[in-house]
Amino acid sequence: MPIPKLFMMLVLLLGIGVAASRGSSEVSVRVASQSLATSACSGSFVEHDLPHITTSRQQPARGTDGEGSGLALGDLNNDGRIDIVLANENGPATILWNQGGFRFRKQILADPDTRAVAIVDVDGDGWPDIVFTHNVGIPSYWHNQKGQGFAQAELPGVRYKAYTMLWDDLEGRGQLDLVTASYDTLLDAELKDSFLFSEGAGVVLYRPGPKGYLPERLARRSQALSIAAFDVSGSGKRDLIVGNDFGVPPMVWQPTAKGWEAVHPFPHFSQNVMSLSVADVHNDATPELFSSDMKPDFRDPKALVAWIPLMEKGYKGLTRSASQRPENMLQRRSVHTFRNEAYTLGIDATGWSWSAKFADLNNDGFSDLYVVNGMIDQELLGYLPGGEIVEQNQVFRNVNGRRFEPRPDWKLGSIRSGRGMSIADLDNNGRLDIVVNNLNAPAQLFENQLCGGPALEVSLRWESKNTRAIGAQVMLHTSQGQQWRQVTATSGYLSGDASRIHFGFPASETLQGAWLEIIWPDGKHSAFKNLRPQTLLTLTRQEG
Amino acid sequence: MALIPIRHLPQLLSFRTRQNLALLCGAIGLILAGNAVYGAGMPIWGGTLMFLGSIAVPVGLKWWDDFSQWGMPALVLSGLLLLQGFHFLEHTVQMVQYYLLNLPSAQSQGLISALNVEWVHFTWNVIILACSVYLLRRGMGGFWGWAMVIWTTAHTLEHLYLFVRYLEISRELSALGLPAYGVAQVLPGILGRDGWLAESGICGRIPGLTTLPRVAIHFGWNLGETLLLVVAAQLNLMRLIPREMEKTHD
Repeated sequence: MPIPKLFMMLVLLLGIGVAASRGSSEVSVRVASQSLATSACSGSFVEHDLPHITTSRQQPARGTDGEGSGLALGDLNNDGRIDIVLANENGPATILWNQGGFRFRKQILADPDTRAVAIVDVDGDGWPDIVFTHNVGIPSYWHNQKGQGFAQAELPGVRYKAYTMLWDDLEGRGQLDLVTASYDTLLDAELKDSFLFSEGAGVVLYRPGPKGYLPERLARRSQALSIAAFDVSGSGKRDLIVGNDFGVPPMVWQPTAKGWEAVHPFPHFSQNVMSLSVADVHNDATPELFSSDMKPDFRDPKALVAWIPLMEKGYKGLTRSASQRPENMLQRRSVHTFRNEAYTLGIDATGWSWSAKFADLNNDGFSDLYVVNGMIDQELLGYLPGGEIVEQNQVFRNVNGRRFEPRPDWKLGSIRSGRGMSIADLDNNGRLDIVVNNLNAPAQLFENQLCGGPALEVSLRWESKNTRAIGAQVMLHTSQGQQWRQVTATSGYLSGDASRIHFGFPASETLQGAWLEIIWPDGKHSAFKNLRPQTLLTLTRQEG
Repeated sequence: MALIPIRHLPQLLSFRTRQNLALLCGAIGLILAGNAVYGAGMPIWGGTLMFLGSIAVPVGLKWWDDFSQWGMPALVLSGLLLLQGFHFLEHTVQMVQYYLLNLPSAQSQGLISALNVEWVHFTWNVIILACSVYLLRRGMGGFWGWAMVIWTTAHTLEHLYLFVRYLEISRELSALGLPAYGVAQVLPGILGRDGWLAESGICGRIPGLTTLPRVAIHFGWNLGETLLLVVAAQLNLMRLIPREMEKTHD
């Protein structure tokens, strides 16, 4: 397939944005704008192999070996193109420098046995760094040498073993907090008695201090595969949610005057949380929390057969009043509680689901869902050829926020046992592309050639230690409604997000009278008008 | 023996001259089954079968009486009412187990759990459908009779879907060298949560039809079937067992 050429017109406009009238909470923004390219569409995604294979230590994989690694997307050298970092649970990681036109320069990063990865500006110098978690051990930190490579450095004070992590400005102080959580099953298996008789790991919140990170241990044990920041209480402050495997209930902490307090807001939750992601599915400016789990399509006998022996064990104790069920759940806030809407919307069963993320793939103004799946475990699935459940990745189109319809015609149904996955516009054409880190198979890039409407992309800059405004909320208000996005560094399963956010909208939407509303992590507001389709805006917060 | 002309279902369902025998056998059955289950640890399905065995003789004699006094339609109707009544009781017990006792669906299997398997369900429904069609042809027509047959046909189709899929899954499991699994017997069918209708997205998620668990869906099927049978039978009793069919025995 022809690879569209990257062509961007640089800086069409530099100006000062118009701040909304919100009293002392308002801040203005400086605006840099550049056009996004336009390219031909074919109505589906086009698959490209990437030069990276995450391998399991044993062949076939056994136990937690089968759970693979993540990837992160971000502009590592500030050249306007989003690069890729792929973790590898059994070998070195890979950086794929985006050369444009879906050409990449491969660089091996000698950090072995990595699981989660995030691209974040840890030290606030304006250059995104790379952080990995490992099979066993504390997170490793690769400091960006101002675009000239990476040097391994220490995260002072970070001392607990971690499997998954979250980088976010949780308390709105203009600096990035780190939350790590352990997957104790893996540590038990690897370290045995030395872990059993150690101080353990669990969930730890690290706040940056003058001499390093100050840990606050929120839980001593966890089976965490994913962490998210999500406003549970509707207070405007985001709470901390840790999704656990093996039926361990989710852990939720709310910020209070006394510190972080554990709460239990969800009447029902997924039983084995593989990933968490936050999105506004209904375009009502109220985000929902999605958790992925393991549930097959009950209509397909061939698919079901692989699951029957697992279901025999897993469903044995499942009562009507069970608070946790093995299925994807979408937590939507109702008056005093949350209700699960995944089943109603038709996104509850996506197989052995790992990374699951919402994004407007067809630029129609609604966030669609992509889920990667499959499992390899010679112990658990020894009855299957290669010990593998082979499943197609699932993509669902969001139909006006009312239901989700499967779209196999988008050609995203890879069967390569995907684990980590992230979504971003890699060719700066306003369409979101997808990168998947598979297990024991080459990683994939799915180039978006859907024939949708135009897009508006937004990068935030903040002259603070949180240079990319991680945790900020951005709302696009148009004549057709509103769309909500949040700047995140990590989401899904072990995967990092690009800090650039994307709004798609139908071709009929001209953005006449549309405006952007930004709620910065510290609660301050900005607004910006004069929006044009197919534009990438870089909005830099102006203090004072 | 002279018989009162039959005009109401309770008359048909009554043990009549076999009442004392039925009560005696029932009491003995209850005592034996209770001791077996609570004393000797026999599973509930075993105790239930023991009870059913103990009342088999009076029930068989009662059905012989129905046949010899009022003919084949009375025998079929009487048998259908008793069997469907017991079957509905089974589903009621399942509902109690699932909703009131909060047992997992895998354990909410009624009194005769060993028979809660797809081929039994399918065979049972085919028999019920065949009996319904027979009664329809013998006079149990009208709106309620036809409604009963249509309802039963739909119920049987659901079990046909379940049975065919069970066979397919069993064949695939066998090809993998795996044994049969109990969970394969309690999968959702066309209706209900995770059923074909829900997953197909044809008409979206309809509260009840695509949201209720299998135990509630089949309780609903059998509730409808039992009610329609009772109403159709009562309204058509005169046509099923005309006065001239009533025999008088001296």
